[in-house]
Amino acid sequence: MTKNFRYAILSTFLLSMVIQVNAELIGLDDQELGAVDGEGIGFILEDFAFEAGTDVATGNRLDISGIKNKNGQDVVLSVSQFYVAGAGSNRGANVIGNPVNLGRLLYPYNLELVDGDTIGIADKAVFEYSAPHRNTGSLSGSDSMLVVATEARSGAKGQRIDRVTGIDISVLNSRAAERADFGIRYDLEVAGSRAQSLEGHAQGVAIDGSYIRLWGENNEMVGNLALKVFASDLTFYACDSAGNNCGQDVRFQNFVLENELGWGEKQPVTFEVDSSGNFTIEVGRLNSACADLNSSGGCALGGAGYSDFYNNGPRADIHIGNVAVGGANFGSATIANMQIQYLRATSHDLGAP
Amino acid sequence: MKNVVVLVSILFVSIQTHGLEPLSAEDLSAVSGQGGVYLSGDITINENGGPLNIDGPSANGYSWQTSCTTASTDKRCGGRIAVNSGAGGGWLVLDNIRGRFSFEGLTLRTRKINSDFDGDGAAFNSDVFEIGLPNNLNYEDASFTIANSNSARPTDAGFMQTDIMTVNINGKANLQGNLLIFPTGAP
Repeated sequence: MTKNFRYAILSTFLLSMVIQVNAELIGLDDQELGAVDGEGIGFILEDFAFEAGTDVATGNRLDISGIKNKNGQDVVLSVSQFYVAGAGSNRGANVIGNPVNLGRLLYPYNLELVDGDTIGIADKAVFEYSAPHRNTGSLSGSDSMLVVATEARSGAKGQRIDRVTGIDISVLNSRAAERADFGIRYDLEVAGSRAQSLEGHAQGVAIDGSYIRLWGENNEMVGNLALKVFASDLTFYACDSAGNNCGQDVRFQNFVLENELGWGEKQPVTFEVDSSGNFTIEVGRLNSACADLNSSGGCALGGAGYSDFYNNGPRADIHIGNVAVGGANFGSATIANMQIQYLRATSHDLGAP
Repeated sequence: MKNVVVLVSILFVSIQTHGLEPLSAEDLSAVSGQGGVYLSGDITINENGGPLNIDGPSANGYSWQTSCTTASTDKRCGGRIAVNSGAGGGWLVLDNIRGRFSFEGLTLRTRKINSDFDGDGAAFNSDVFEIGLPNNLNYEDASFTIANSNSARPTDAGFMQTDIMTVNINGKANLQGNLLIFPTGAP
């Protein structure tokens, strides 16, 4: 019996040998393995449209609660329409059947673990979620959409933006067919009764160049954020509680927001909840960007110590090509060169006894 | 008996070598999985407050059990995910996860893209994993609360929590399109 069993094993082994010989798997050598570079996971939404909260009368509701007014009454944002659609959505009238591609096959939304050394965060693996990348613009010469004229200001280090002379669309990888329309209509309900209806609609929106990067340091979650938004048209207006008799609209045409929060390890942004349960966001001090600190914690070299931060650090620029209220044009508006040296914001629960 | 086993094994070997022909690399590359999966789902989460509320201890100083009606916002009702934001610090919380969520017609398949997409398809020339989104999502009192807390569980001593906002969804959301997922970079 034992002998037979051995024969059986031998024959099974021989059988497997036959299969093995026919297989066509070839081992990879070190060089080939070294060339493998799995960078991340790309996402795109193809022919996408989304609509929620419509037809409130039949019970479709999307309510956001948790806000109180100064008299302690509950304020509920009751969303009567939230939509994402392609161009020509006509303020939410044409959503399903009017889709948009979000992201491109060659420039997708991307989720990956980045080698921190390549983005100024030494010896860390950084989790990154990014929107489609930006190009170097043919007019702006950088990845900024703003074509600017600069000047040297007395008392300031380096060149500062004097005025915005144009908007460079070539920076965006999302083409016209990949820029979404989206909008929201909501009713403000105060203490259970509907008070007012507000609407906001955006057309031709791209968020190319935005990212969120997270890593851990000293048992804390640390991050960098970039929010870069282009919208060809933003419209806001208010109506009465039934959604009729709407007031005059406020329109922002060619709206550009380019905002960065945090600067690698030099200025980390931390998110934490303290022991009393309140949320704190902090944009760190620039100490590590300064070679020599004085006794009060500032840069011993004064402004010169911060010149790298002023020239290359994170900043916020906002430009609106045209502001129009009720059909009257007010021309362009620009806020540029905003830089945060330190910021700490903490939430407090007003409802707590 | 010995001979029988040897004979059987020889028989197997002969079947392997003559009956089944191995596919060449060329033949294999022509094989394409055409099938897919069609899914519908109906999920109800913590309608009555979840298992801890129903089976949780109420004696010896524990107080898990409470009345969890649909309208109740008691912190012990509904699912809760708490993430510690730093050693010795508080917790980021997704709380009060409750309700019913259903969909019909979610599809899963792989797909080769080598054309269209305004010219991107030919350059991409690769396989993607496609999730076909259902035409509508139905919600019934689906809710969640975003909050910050000083402890992981609502029954911990000295429990404090700040609710930032609560979202409650009822009814139907319409959608269309496909979510395409693929590896980026050069494999």
